[in-house]
Amino acid sequence: MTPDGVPTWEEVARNHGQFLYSVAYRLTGNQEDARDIVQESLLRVRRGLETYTPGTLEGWLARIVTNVFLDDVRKRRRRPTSALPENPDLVLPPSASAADVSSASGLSAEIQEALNALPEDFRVAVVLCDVADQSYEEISMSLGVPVGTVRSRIHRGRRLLRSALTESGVIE
Amino acid sequence: MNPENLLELTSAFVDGELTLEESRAFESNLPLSSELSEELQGVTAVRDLLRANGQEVIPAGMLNFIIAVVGASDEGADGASSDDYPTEIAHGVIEIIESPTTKRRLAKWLAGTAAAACLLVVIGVPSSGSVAPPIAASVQTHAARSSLDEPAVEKLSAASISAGFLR
Repeated sequence: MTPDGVPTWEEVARNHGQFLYSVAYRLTGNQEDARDIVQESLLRVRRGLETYTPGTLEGWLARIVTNVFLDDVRKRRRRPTSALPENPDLVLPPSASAADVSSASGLSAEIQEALNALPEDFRVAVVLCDVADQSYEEISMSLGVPVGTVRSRIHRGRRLLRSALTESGVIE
Repeated sequence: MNPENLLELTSAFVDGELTLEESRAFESNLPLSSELSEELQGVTAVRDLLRANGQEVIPAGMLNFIIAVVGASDEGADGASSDDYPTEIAHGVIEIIESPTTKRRLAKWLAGTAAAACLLVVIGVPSSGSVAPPIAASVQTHAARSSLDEPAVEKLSAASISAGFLR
């Protein structure tokens, strides 16, 4: 901890790494991407701590991890993946799905699959609300959209999740 | 407030994000609308499920690994060792090195190194004028004289002087 009460980036990593990983995992849906997101987030934390003023640290971290995720999504959109080869034998097997890699019970995997199926705008809003425990105001500031938009995205996201989880028998 | 608008407010109601006025309107309509009541139940179930199961445990060793990579990123130290990282993720060392950020740094480093190498070549290598003496002619001279059974070193030396290699 520095004299002015600001934690070092390593303290942030040790004390909030789990938080960063949970948010990143729920946004990306897999270990590899979540790890890259956490790594890039900590690099930004390291650079940004000089200008950080003590406040709601997890709110600041949630904003960083979300921005890293959205930057990554934009990058992938600009650089679409190449077409698959025509010979199906040459296609690599798919990487492990959320269901395969989820360390928790099957319930966690079911939830993750339902989250993955959400449009990104809805997923980000729901994850920030229910995983990162951010207020609508904080989410609004993180995403740069009005609070009314946040309300709408969270509600529509939850509606879609309800439908998917009901279909898979997780909830009645 | 019409019923459709009230339905849209259900999540905000559950999250305690409505104004006092909106909250009162929602509560007063709740007993009157089975649709609203059902929406409230559904949204609450999803919210509770996410909040209870939303945390994902970070794999053992991953955090230490990331800290080592981030710590080494600007210090030039070899902080990360795949020894302290589970084998199923150890292959990720390469992926992390090839992550976008690391790639950008590597590209910058390579560009800088290449520029320095070019500068050294331009400064260090003599211009074409200073290597003008024809090597082929020198070799020919040396070969011609060597056939006269003279001592080899003397022949070479003389040939080099005539070709301009020695002063």
